[in-house]
Amino acid sequence: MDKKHFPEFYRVNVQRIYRFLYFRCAGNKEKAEDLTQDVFLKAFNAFESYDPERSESSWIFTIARNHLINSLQKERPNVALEDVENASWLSADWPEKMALGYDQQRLWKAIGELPADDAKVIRRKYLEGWPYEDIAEELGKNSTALRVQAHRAIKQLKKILKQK
Amino acid sequence: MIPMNWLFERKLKRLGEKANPDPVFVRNLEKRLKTELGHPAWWVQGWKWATGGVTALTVIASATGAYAYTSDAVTPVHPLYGVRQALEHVEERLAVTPEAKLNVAVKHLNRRLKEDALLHEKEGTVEKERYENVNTRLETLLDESERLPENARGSVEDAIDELEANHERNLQEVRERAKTEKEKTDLEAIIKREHEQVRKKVQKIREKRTIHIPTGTTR
Repeated sequence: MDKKHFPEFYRVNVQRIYRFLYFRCAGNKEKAEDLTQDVFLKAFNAFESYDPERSESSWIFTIARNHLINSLQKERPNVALEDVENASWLSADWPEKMALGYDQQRLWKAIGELPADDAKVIRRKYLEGWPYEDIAEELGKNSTALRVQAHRAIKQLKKILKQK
Repeated sequence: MIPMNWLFERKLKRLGEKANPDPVFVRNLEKRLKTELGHPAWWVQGWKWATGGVTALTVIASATGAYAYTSDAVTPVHPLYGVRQALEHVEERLAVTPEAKLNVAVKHLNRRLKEDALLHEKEGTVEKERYENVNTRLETLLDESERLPENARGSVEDAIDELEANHERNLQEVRERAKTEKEKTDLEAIIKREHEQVRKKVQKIREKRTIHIPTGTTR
């Protein structure tokens, strides 16, 4: 892909990549910024080899995921990204880190009470901003099935919030 | 009536927006990519509109330009309205990303609503076509926002919501000030028709994003 398209690519993806990294760095803004910068520098250098037939999100997320794993493994060899993710989401101080209001805190906690798979879909889709097609590719599922799952998870979230 | 899941989904998206990067960081990284890597794409884009931007700034910096651009008193019948239109045209050309273009379009449409409200207050009437045009534009903006990447939709959808609320409030105020029964009836018909159009539009958007259960039942 011609590098003249990179500015547009950057503007479309920077927020999503940052959020992806932010939620896996336990809300450490400085670290998320450093990693985001590294990811886009790598992406820029590799941009001419990017095949536009492939999903843009999928390409940049692969770079981000691999860079994150490499960065984590410098500190903790053999660490799995999934373990880091789980530990990060379960960290208790998100409401403070993200300056969540009362209703947002309730919503955040309610997401944590969903079954793990449903919580994953809700987080990917709404908190990180992935399109269904990319979540489907990552989880090895059909995007239609994911929409059904998300719809049911939202119903469940509303129930949880009503009960509290 | 806007479908309830849509509102809940917006709450979830707003929660995600709390994790947005600092805009200063985003701009600085873009600058770094531009200067250290020196790719021409950025400066070419900037140069294209730099001329228009400098002209716009010069006009705005002048007292006349600032007044024309910012004053609520400048309505379509005001002598400086042409200056306002020219400045808004430059603003549209300076918006580079699809999201920025939509935000500018929403801002200008909000201005049109304010102008209509003032026109009605001062002149006593506004052409029916101006009200109807606003709704057509709203529907177009909703359609265009659908083409944005998901992560860019949130702020535009918020702005469109605010615009719809302003439009509805304007119509109600104008209806209350209507001098004749015919004008009142006409406005009521417009309000009713536009509610229905927006409801259908939101429903269509929801159906496009809706899930289909394999048995063929649609939720």
